[in-house]
Amino acid sequence: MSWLALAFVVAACSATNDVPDLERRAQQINKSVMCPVCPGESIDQSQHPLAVQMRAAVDEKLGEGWSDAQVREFFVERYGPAVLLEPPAEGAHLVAWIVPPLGTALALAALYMVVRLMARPRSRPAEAADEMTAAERDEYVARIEAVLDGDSPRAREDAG
Amino acid sequence: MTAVPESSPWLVLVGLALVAIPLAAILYPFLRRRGLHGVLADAEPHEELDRRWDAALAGLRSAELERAIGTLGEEDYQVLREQYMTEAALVLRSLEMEAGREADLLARVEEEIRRVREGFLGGETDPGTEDRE
Amino acid sequence: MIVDAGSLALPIALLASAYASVGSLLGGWRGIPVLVLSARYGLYTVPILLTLSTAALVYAFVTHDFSVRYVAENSNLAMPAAYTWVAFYAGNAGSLLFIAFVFSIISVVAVRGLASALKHTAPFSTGLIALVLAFFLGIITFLANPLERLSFIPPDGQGINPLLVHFGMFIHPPMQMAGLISVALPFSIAMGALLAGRGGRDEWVDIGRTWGMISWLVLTIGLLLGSWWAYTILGWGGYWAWDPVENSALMPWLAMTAFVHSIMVQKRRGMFRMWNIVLVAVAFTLAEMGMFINRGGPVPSVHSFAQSAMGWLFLAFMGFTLLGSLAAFAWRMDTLRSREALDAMLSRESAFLAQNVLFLVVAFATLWGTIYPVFTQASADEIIVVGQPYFNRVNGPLLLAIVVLMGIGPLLPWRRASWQRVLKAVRVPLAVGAGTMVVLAVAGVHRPVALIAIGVVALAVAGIAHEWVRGTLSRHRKGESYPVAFARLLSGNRPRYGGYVVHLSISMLAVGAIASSFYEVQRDFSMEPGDTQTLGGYTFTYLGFGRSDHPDRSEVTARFAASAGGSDLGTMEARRSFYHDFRMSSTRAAIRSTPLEDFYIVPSEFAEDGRAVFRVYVNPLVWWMWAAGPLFVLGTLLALSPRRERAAAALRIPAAARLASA
Repeated sequence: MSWLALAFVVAACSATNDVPDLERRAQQINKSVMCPVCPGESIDQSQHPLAVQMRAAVDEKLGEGWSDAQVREFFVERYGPAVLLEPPAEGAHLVAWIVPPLGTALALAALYMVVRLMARPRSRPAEAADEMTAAERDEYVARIEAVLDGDSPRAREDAG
Repeated sequence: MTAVPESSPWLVLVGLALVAIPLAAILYPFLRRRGLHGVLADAEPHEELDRRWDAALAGLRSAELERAIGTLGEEDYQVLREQYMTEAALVLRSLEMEAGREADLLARVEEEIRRVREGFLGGETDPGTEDRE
Repeated sequence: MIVDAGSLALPIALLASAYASVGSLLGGWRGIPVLVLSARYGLYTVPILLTLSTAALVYAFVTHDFSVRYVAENSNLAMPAAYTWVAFYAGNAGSLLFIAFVFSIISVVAVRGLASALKHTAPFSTGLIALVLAFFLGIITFLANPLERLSFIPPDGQGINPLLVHFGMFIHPPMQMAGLISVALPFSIAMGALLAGRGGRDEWVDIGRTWGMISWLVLTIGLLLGSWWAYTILGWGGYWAWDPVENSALMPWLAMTAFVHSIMVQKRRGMFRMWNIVLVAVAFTLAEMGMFINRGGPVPSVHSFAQSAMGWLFLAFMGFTLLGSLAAFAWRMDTLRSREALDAMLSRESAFLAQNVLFLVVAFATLWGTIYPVFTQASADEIIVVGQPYFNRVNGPLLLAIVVLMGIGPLLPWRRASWQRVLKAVRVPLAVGAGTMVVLAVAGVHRPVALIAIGVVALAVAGIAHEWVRGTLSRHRKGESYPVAFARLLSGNRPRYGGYVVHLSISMLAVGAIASSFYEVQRDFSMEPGDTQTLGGYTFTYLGFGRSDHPDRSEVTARFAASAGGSDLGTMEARRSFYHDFRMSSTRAAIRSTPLEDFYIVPSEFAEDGRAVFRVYVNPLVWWMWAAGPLFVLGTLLALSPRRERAAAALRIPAAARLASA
């Protein structure tokens, strides 16, 4: 594990500085904008001419000093909200974002309630436990222990 | 349904042969009418006990392991061990009673058979049985 | 001739499985042994009949019988014979036949086991299994017969989908399909026990767990191979895109992961009886939805190779499953009371329950994101896309929570734990996790999310390692040498230690996923032959490209001389193939993979004058994700390997024990 962590450090430090900041921002935007003519693919993935054009547009706008949000907004205005690979976090589409955390919270609350309910001591059905005399029980326990010892180290060594 | 270009007589034969496969399998139990005993029989009563035995022993083992590893305190371990042991002892006793009943039943059936046979043979004892006993 | 015979076998197999379903359920319900036996024997003949159909389709492919529509649509004369296997399931009809064939075989294996182990439950389970089989055979017979003839014989076929021409395609789709359909087995076993009124006895648990884990294992292999295929052939440098079809394969996997955990509680404690049945019903419903989305579902996807209207039949069957399970559950709920109560709120049992909840929540969030676009389109006629960024943001934290639980949960003892003990036990893994974060932060990892994620994985691994060390030490103290003590520790409680091995493999997977999603380096290079560039310590020279023409495709192969840190890596080749008939191109990346990082070149454009644009990635630690696969299989097999205690042993030793105790 420590080796893995070490590898992680090396990997993390080795390459990230090779890519200019602007380009990295462009990549982030490319990955969140969909290519309008190739369903399900981002403009980062797609090799469609339109995607290539849109990538160039991202580079250009960022070069002109636009912010990431402005660039995304630019595409939304031209192609509609479906051009983004995530629903807008505003208006009716807030629902898309709220439901999962809300569901998580409700589920965890339900979990807590259920565990509490289940953990309430219940009267166990009176099984024949009381009918067993102490001597009887001791005998059974001895036999069970013999079975348990069957795979304990000591028993194995005795046998081997 | 299935596009067959021309229905050659061979194909009809093949079709009949194919139908014969499941038909034979399906009809076999109806015709034979034997070996049906045990198709729907209840699970052996001691299977339920066996499962509880498995669970109790696994519990004892994991409690021991968890104590050794250190995630289970000594006090909790003793409580758990007590509970699992009681469960295992109860199961063991039920199993023994079950076995005892079975042996009892078997003995009674044998007794019955012997009585019937003795009556049938008019008091003559079968030398073979005698030898074995 | 053999094609027509194979085609005839399909409706006969349908009748046989329909009879098996009705006969088995009726026989079980009314208690008619002869009917139950007859139905079971009828089911046994289905794989025989389907073997004939399968052989017929293979024969048609091998002999290039283009009068068979499916063969004409999915192969051509140029296709290498080895790809017959892939072409078999490349289209809708063939993949359905493949599913039915595989399912009929594993069903017979499962039903044989059931019939001897669970006499009361078996008729109901067998009936349900046969019902699922009959559904598939009905669709194949009436709507998608792969052996259907054309009215004319085309001179050549259309060929196989080029995206499928890859080694990974030999295993990934069949595994995925087999995995999805095999969820029907644990479902039928559990539901059969419920219908038989024996859900409250835990007799179905052992066999249900076995088939549940087999199904889960196959699903896992399918998912991993799918990612691997996406990584090496789709050529976008990633392995998981939260595409609807990927999601639909992931959701049943998540539900099954919950099931294989919580079934242990029923096995050990006779608890969660209702819950386990709910879980497996949810898993099967999600598996059906997976098959539905794959076959003409409403969500656009790169995987929807088999679009057709029959998707809606799958939806109907899914609804039937769900409602039927609910009805059965309501009817038999009273039989499902737990044998025991929860002793304490803090215990292994409650950790399992928390794990279940988290997995179901991830499945629910994934489902929500997958179908949200369908909602918006239906309700507001607005097209919305829910893609990778959404899922990363929504599921990311939940997955991290799961990893935390994976580290802590196994440290809780069964039945009862005290806070002090748990805190004491958690101390070491917590310290390791925190220490890892500090070391990484000092070493230069500055993104907080990446730091937390890696710290959490370190915690989980340390939890396992700590357990193993303590366990081995305790056996060593009793006089075993370290290797023996370790081996006996692992083999002494296989479900537990198999589980730990699986957890280790998940940690490897997590490390790879975290590292490559936060620290992937990507850059586009426009190069002329002879140009040299560097990225992330790799230096590569573009040597030029060569064209080659094949009957079905033309290929451009770019060659590179690469080196890293002064050591020569030799020549690397990246390929782009254009398939004329499909007007489709596929890419084979040049990948140099080491445990540390992958150096990955994808060609994106070639110009006539020799210039080309390449996308180059340095992906850290991706190797570990693929290495996790074999470890996962190993751990699952270890957890599955049976160990039965039989009480007979205790019955046989009374005399000896009495002596000993005297």
